[in-house]
Formats: sequence, C-alpha cells, structure tokens
Amino acid sequence: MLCVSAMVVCVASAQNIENDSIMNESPIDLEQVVVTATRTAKKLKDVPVLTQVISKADIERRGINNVQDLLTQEVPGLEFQEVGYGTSINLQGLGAKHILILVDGERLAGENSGNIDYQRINTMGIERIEIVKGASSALYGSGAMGGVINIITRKAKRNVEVSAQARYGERSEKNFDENPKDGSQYKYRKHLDKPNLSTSLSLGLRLGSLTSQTDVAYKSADAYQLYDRKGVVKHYKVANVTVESPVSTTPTSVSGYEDLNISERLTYKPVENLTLRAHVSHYELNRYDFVADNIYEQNEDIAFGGSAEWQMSEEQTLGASMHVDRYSRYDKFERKAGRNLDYENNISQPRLAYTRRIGEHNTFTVGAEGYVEELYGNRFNASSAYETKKQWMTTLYAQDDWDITDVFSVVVGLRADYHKEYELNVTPKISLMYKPYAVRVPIRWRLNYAMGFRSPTLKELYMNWDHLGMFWMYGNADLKPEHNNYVSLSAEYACKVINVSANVYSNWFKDKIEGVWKTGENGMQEYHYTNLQKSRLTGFELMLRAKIGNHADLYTSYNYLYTSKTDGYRLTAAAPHSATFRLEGNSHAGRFATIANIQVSLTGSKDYSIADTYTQDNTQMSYSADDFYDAHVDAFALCNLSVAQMLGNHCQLTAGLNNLFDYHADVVSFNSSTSPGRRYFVSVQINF
Amino acid sequence: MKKTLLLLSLPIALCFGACDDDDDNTTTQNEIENVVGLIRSGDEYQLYRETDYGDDWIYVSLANVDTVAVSEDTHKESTEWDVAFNRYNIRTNSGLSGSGNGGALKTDFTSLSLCTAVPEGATFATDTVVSITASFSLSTVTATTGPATMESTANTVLAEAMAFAGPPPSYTPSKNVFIIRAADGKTFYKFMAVGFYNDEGESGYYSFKLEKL
Repeated sequence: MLCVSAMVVCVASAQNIENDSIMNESPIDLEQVVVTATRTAKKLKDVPVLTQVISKADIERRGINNVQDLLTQEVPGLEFQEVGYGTSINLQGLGAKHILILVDGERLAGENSGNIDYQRINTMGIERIEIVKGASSALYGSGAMGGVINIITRKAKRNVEVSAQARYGERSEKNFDENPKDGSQYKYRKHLDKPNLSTSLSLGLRLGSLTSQTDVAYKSADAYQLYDRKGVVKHYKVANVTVESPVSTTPTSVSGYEDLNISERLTYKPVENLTLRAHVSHYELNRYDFVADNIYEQNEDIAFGGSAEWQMSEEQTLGASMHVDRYSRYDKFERKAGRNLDYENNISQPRLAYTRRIGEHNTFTVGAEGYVEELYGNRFNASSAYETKKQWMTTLYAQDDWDITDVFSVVVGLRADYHKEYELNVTPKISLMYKPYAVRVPIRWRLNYAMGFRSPTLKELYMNWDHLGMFWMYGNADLKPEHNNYVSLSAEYACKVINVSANVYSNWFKDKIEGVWKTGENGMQEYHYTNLQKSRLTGFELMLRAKIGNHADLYTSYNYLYTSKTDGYRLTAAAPHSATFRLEGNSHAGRFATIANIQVSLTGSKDYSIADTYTQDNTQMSYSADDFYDAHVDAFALCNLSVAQMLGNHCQLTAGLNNLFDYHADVVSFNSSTSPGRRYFVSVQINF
Repeated sequence: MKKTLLLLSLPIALCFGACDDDDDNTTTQNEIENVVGLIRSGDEYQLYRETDYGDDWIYVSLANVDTVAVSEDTHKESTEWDVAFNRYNIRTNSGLSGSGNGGALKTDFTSLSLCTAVPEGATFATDTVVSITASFSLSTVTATTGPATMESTANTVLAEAMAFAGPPPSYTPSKNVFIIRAADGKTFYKFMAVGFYNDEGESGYYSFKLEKL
C-alpha cells in the first residue's frame, strides 16, 4: 500500500517533467555501471535483469564489519544460520549450493556444504555488491540457479587514498571468569574469549598508468553459546501424537574466530587500449570451537590471477584472464607446534572473451572458459587414505545484447559445458526489457527466462567415507547436473523521490541431487547420492527506496515465498514472509554531518515438517518417508541502530546497537536467529 | 532415535573436515599394564595412552597417583587400585568392579578448593553393571543398534564427570567436583575431570585434577 500511494504521489509530481529525465532520476543511482547481469559493463537503468546494488556508503555509515550482517540487513529473505559445520546461507528458500557468490566475478575455493568461507570477505575492501536473483548459469555456469552475489572490490580513484578503520564490539559472552596461565586450558580459554575487534588498512595509489590497491584486514570475535528457553513441541503426523520435550540443556555453540586478509590488486595500462591486471591475496582463519580437544580449525587460502583486456578497435574488445584459488584446512594443535592437513581444494579458471559491437545497437560476446577443480582429502576410499580427486569442465558461451528499438531490448545467451563425467550440458537464457518513454508512467518492464544448472561436487561424485563409524556415504560418478528453469517478470518505476520495483518469479528444480538411504550388509545404513527430487519455488518481491523530505531516505523490501510440498510436506524451512526496513536520517551538515540508521529485518513465522522417528514405550516405529513432525518458528524481528558522525573531511565515528530489543529465540535450532542479544559497537574510520 | 541422529548428522557429513574422525583401533584386552605412570603437568594428570573401546582399563592407585599392574582377570581381587579408566567410563574399587570399599559422590562444588570435607550423610555410589562401547569399528555398527556394546562394570556417578555428545563426537568435562572413596574405604580424594584429548586432538586420553581430601 505504501508503495502504491507513494507511486501515485510520485506520478503526480512527475507529470510536468520530461519523460527522459524522469527515467534517470531516482533515489538509487541508475546511472551507475554494473557488471553482473550481462557480464559486460552496463548502466543500472539498462540492465535487463533486476539488479540490487549495496554501495560502499551503505556499509561504512553503519559500521558493519561482516558480509553476513550486511546481506541479512539488505536482502529480504536472506538468512545466515549457524549449523554444525559453520555458517550456512539461505536465500528465499534456496541453500548455498544454488547461490553463487563471486568476488570480482571469480569463484572462491573451499566450501562447507556449498557455503563459501564468508569470513574471507573484507567488508572494508568492498566497492559495491551486486545481487542478481534468479538463474544466471548461461553466464556463470554451475551453481547460479537462484542468484548471483558479486562482490566488487575497491579500486583507487585518486592519486593517493589511505583509509584505516578500527571497530570494537561488546563481547557476545564472557566464557571464562578466570584463565590461569599455567592451566592446560589457557590457550583454549583465551581463544574462546577473543575480543570482538576488526581493523583494516587500505592504500590506493595511482602512479601514471599504474594503479595499486593494497588491503589488510584483521578480525576477531568471541565464541558464545545459546540455551533454549522452551522445550521443543513436536506433533507427529503418523502417530497423531504431540510430544513436548523438556527444555534442552545442550547449548547451540557459535564458534569464535580470528582472521587476517591481505590483498594486492594492480592495474597497468601500458598503452591506451590495453589494460593489464594482476591480483594476489592471502587469507588465514582460525576458528575456535567449544570442544576442548586441544586442536582448532585453521584455514588458509592463496589466490592469484591476472587478466588482459585489449580494446582492438572501437567496436572490438578481447579479454583473457586466469584465476587460481587454493584453500586448505588444517587441524592446528593448540598446545604445541604443528598441524594436520584436513583437506585442500584448488580451482583454476582460465577465460577468454571477445566482445564486438555491431552497429549502434548490438553487442555480441563470445567466450571460452576452463574450470579445473581438485580436492585432496581422505574421504574417497574405504581405507581413509589421502588422495586427490579432480574434475574439469570446458565451456563455450555466446551472448547477444540487442537494443531492438529505443524502448525494447533483448539479451539472448547460450552456454555449452563439457564436463569430465556427465559430458555435454547446454544452458540458454533470454531477457527482454521494455522501457516505454512515451507513456506518462515510465515503468521498466523486464521479462526473464533462464535455465540454471549445478554440477555435482567432487564429494557427490566420489565420496566413499565411513561417517564417524555411523554409516557409509557413497558418491556417484554417474550423477547428472541439477537443472532449473527460472521465469521472472519485474516492473521498476523511478522518479526523483522514489524507486520501486516489483518482481514475481517461479523457479522449477529437477534432478536435484539428494542422498538416499539404503541398508547394506550387516544392516548398516548407506547414504547414496542420486538425481531425484523436483521442487518449485514461487515468489514475489517488492523493493522501495524513497526520499522523505530533505533529510531522510527509506529503504524497504518485502518478499513472499511459496514452496512446493514433497509428498504433502513442506520441507523448506524458509519463512513465507520476510521484509527489511531501513530509515536513514542525514543532517546534511557538510563536514560535520550526522547520519543515523534504524534497520529492521523481519522474518515471518514458518511451519514446516522434519523427518523423524517417533518412539513410544520403547517400541520404535519403523522409519518411513511418512514419519514427520511439524515444526513451528514464530515470527521475529531483529532491529539495529547506528549513528555515524563526520568529524571533518577525514574522520568518521560510528556507534551502534545490534539487536536493539534483545531478541532471543526460545528454541535455538538450525532455523532460528543465533544473535547473542543486544550488543553495542563503536568504530572509527579515517580517510585521506 | 538412531535414525534421527543419522539425519541430523548428515550436514556434518556434507562438510569436508569439520569433524574429527574418531579412532578405530583394535581393542587390546586382558593386557597387563606396564607401569608408565600418569603424565603430570601442573596440578593435572593425564593417562599416558588412550584407552580403547572394549574392556581396556588403566588401573590407578590414588595414594601415589600412579598406574597399577592389574590385569582384567585379577582386578576384582586386587585392592591395590582405587580407580580405573576406560574411555569416559571410570571404575572405583567397589561393588561389582572390585573387592575394595571404594565409591564415588558428585558434589555441587565447581572448584577443588571449595570442597573441604565429605558432605554429611553423603551416600557413595558403588560400581554396577554398565553397558560400554565394545567397538567403533564399522563392521560392527548397525543402523538399529549403533556401535556394538558389551556388558562391563563401572561407576555410574563418575560417568557424569565427562559428558559425551555427538555426532560429531565431543567430550566435555563436567564443572562439578567429585569425591572418590579409595579402596581402603577411609581415604577420600577430590576429583575433577579436565579433558579427554591428547595434544593432537585424539580422544581417549582422560585428564583430571586430584587432591586428597
């Protein structure tokens, strides 16, 4: 309603303005160039797929120091959950395996059930984040089934740019009151009670034709545990029995960590039409869990690469690039030197792209790519011996971006991948955009059809592992890629004071890779991967940005999600309704401006079913697919408040309260908030 | 319940390396300990080797905090030992485990120094029949029963000194102080579990603090 009424006001106020200027005025900078939707540089107003942009200012003014908080606050229906193995993303009913997260267009090695290591993203090094929802596999290949989140890093714009930031947050929990230095748990306790601290230093230089960007960032956070406040109530459908468990005394543990990230990016233009780029980064993360086993998880990553872009003529560009990323995980000994390698994951991705403008209105891109991934670990054979498994893919793709008329444009893309195991896979997409300047209410219409796919992971292909002595997991080299068909229709309206977009979509998945239980010899359970499930997600999304007077900006979004049922059960734990709301007030007092933000993320209540076994009087009912219990999670809101004070041109102080109303989930599970409660932070940033 | 555990543990399986493999060594039974002693560091003691699944017990005398050469066949007759360790199971020289007058008691104290006397009217638990894990070898694991178990004897109160959770398996020492009555039935020791892992993260290495009461 708010959007509609705002739009009416907006339309009324815009009636006497030239249509062309209406199209380009908006609370969002529609003239900014984005790269994710078509993999070519294009103005935001012209991209054929609705793109959400989170800017550097959005991050700095609110003192946000990690990408999880940032995305949760900006993207409706996006949640991060703390699960056994770490942090897991969920975007509008889709898990990590169906969302592709890139940094400067490149994939990241090292994953946990499809999740990248989110700690690796240095928020202070971000120029902007581009979010393109829906399938984009025709451009990005495997995994881009539900959305692409492309993190674009900062590049120096002036001759010398220096910035430094330090942020201190209230601890989540004081785990130990005392920690004697001669105690055997000295390091363990010290690690769990690390301060919530983040610091970063960045240096940008432009020396003639050479540009350099150096970033160093260090973060640490304490570990904490969350206890349930209520017992879990389970209603078993088959037995029609409701069981209320006593309040669990086992806490949900959130690990602490410290990480260090160093990166260098160089750009060199030896001649006007040639741009050479090189990047190298090193990252180390220590993750500290509550198990006092004298080891902790240590992760290391080295990434490097380079690219050349040759502007052959006004119409033609040829680009070549190579990116290599090596992620290793170790069990690091806490009380003595040394560590044991757990696994190592390498990816290498060479690329070649040729873009040609044909006439005024047509841009044709053709490219070739390679993808090689190696995983070295000990879960590929019965004897748990370490070995390397490898997969590779070669790709050809083409895209045509055609402005058919002034108001109508189309982007068509086709991709062919050839994979080591499953061989040929073809992925098409088509995007239509209609922007009728001639009418009084200038709305940009975008219609998209895209196919997406996800290649089986090396684990899904080759795993052969005794799961902690409990059951065997078997990979399946005959797996085919998962596929989905995605259709969306969106309308975007923009004028000087308002930008509103509505998007309706449907996403059909098939051949989803699932694990199936089988009983092997000795009655032992076996878990086999197979292409099995179908599912459908349908949703509606509304985003509104509005200027309210001269001093306030409103950013709000709403998401509705419908998920199909499997055998009559809703197995997705995503909330059907979710919304974000942010009001930013700016005193516009020049060098001494004050900017205040109040932000709310709302997650609606959700009901879903969980497969379980119902036990009564020691008679265990035999397991079957029909054994489910209903789970219910109440709606909740997380509210964050921050105030940034500019102190002259070079200094900014920020203070804030996260989880303002001290929300705690009654039952902490995989699907509830794992916020430690209301906590303050302060941060100082200096820019020259 | 086992199925639930299997399902719950699935996400752990899908990640590569978030969990430690538990040991799967062959059980050595009826072995007489070569007395090597306990490893002492500060005020903590740790078993000098891991104990295996099955009846692999390390017998300890609390008077001199040292291991005692007692075999599985003779331990019931011996009063030389006060406690014995097998994974997170602990025996006292009492009840079905031994002919001594041992036993154990759980207190509400969370520091050894706070516990200064045996609480009045306290009842010490003596050893009874318990079910212990016989083997974690995959060939013996079945879907319905989990790892193979076997009957043995131990002190159920002292079993609470080390909490097991999983998967993935983790062992967390209790914050409570326990009082152990020695085999002589007259001497008492304050006992607090400290850890269950060696310096390389391998489980089965019980460590504890101990003081004579």
